[in-house]
Amino acid sequence: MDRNSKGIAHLFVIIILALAVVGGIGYYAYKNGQIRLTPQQAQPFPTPTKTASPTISEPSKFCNCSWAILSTTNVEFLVTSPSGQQTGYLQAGNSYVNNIPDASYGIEGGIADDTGQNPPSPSFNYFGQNNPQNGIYGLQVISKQSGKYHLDET
Amino acid sequence: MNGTTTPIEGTLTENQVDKYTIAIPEASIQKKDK
Repeated sequence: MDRNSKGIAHLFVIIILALAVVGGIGYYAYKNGQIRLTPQQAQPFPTPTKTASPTISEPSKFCNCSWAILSTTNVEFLVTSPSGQQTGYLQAGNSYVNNIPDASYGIEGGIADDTGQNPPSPSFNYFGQNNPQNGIYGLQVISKQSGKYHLDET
Repeated sequence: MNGTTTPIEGTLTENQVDKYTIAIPEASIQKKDK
């Protein structure tokens, strides 16, 4: 082997060593995840998440209360709710209807005096409802006997 | 309603009808024209 051949052999050895060092560094980096051979998948465009918009609370459709109507017995009356349901006296059929939820209509008897010194208090017609629907109610006062009438809405 | 009592008064002949509207919960009462 001549002198030039030894120089080329040395050069090859240096190149192989250099490749081994570069390859080792590359392998080490690949193992640690610093190098990726597959192209990174594109991240989907983040879609904006809908956040619940604050809702304005609607006013309640029902009153947390109760109401009543009392009348003298020379009249009857009919109550019509905002949704059209009726409770009370139907003049056409001389009958009674009770369709309004949580409502009642009837004649309340007079209260007797336990001592007997006074006559019993007069009877009265009574309509009562708990938790009524808010809105406009209709009231028909039907005369059973000519004269003045008196109702109390309470 | 609301702790108050509202009187409703009138005069009728037999079988005559008076009509009112009552607003709940305001308890305001209006008489309707016959």
